[in-house]
Amino acid sequence: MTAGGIDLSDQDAFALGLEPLLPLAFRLAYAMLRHRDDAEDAVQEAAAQAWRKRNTFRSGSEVRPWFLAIVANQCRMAIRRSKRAAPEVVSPSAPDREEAAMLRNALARLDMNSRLVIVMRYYLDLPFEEIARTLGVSSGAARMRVQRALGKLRPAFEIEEGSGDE
Amino acid sequence: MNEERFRSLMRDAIGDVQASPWLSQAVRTRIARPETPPSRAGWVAAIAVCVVVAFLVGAIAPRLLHPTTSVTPGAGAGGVDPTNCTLPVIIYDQTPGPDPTQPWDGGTSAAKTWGLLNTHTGKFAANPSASPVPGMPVDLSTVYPNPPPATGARLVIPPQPALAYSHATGRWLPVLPERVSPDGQSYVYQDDIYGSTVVRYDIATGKSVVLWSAGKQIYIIKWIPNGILVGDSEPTPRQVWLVNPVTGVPTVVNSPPAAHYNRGGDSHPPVPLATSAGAVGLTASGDPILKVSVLGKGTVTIWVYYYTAAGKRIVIYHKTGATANVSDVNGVWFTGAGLFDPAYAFTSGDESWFSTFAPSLTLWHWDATRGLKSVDIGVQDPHVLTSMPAGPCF
Repeated sequence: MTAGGIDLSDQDAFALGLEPLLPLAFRLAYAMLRHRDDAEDAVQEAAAQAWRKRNTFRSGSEVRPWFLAIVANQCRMAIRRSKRAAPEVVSPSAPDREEAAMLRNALARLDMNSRLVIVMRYYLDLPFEEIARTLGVSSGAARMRVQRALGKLRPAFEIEEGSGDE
Repeated sequence: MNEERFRSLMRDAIGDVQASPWLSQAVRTRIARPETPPSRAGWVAAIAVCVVVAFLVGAIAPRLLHPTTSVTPGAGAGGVDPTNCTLPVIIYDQTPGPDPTQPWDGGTSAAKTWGLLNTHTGKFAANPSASPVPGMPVDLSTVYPNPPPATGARLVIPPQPALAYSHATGRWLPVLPERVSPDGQSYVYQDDIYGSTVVRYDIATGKSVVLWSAGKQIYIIKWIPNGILVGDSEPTPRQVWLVNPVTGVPTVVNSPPAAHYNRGGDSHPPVPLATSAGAVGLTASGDPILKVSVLGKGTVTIWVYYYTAAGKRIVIYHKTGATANVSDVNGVWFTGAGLFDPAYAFTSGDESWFSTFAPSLTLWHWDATRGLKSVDIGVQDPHVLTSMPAGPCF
């Protein structure tokens, strides 16, 4: 049995089918968890979950949002049980260091769902339609969630479409 | 800043970290690992936890969360007739329409109009001077100066946009309506960048009082008649306190409210395009109003409901409609034809006001007696995004 180009009847084939999705899944998990090991654990566990829940996959749907939804759920659970005191710190380019640090702190303070939609939209560059499918909501709802999440970053990070400047 | 600049900043903030080359192999190994069936002891423990949680939700939660009265949307409205009252409203509008050549920005560039709606006539009276709000404190945990000030410099916060209206004082306020006291005389905010405090601001005197310093990150859920509900994580708190708005003394209300919250989206399995669930607002007593959408074969079913403190489910709306495709500049998305699809709810007393995702200027009112009724705003605009209630009707 295949769905979305992935063979759902064979473990190896299923893992092979997920392989192209792993880089994006890892980036999502890393952006949410801010720790490489935690992110890779989340992706591995999500893959195992996906295999176990493969019968919930709807024929005709796309695999990527389905898998990203499972990864996101794993991240939520990982955040709840996490006892890590401090996330890994990356070193942005010097001119942007302060502003990037501010954004990093602001993201860390966001609730999980707000952080998730901002990461999907502005870090993974996913279109609203795919964010909607990942969240299992309408595109309009996804837009509203992004809008509200961005609202929580204002006024320091006010995003103005087409403004072209800061 | 524009979207591309923000994306670049996101990459700098998070980092462009790549997965390990052995992740694929690790995934393959993980999938191949045999599943361990739950042990008998595990089942017993799980059942025991369920029994304890059920006991807490059913027996203890009402006493903890509602020590004196049971405040639900069915109790106490203040005698206001929702069909003939004045409702504060914020309209999000994208006139003259989004640029079809540009990706949609989530509405951040939308123009907002603040005003008062006569629910009897549908007449909307805009108030151009409502926002921004100068001279009132806001959450420092969500306000950052840009660019950052030099070390030691005094933090100057620019006036913030209005988010709520207090009829009692006749003022627009720079906090969400859930932060405003039931009598409209005060609101609460967090005055530290870590979001660990609860501070009461009295509108008439212009004075702030620190009620509680939690010593860790918290968020304010809602100011309810019994006190200020505060949680330690959003939207599903693991710990909830009821803070006395006068003395600042916090009382732990613990897991029962979290159990209520867990009935929302996070507890559902990730089944995209089949089920979505989450809270759209809070009742007057702070319990989440939940929306569940189920996509069937050619149909969409929407449930909107909440649980009372005693664990009784109150259904606000339940209907199935044919799946409808809605087209806009970003493509096609799905909803149910003619269905009530709420985006946000604000409840005060026994009155709930809902905004919807539908591109219309319709607000919806619900109470247990009248049921769900729509109220049209007398403004015609094809580019409106949504219209949000910003406080109780008066």
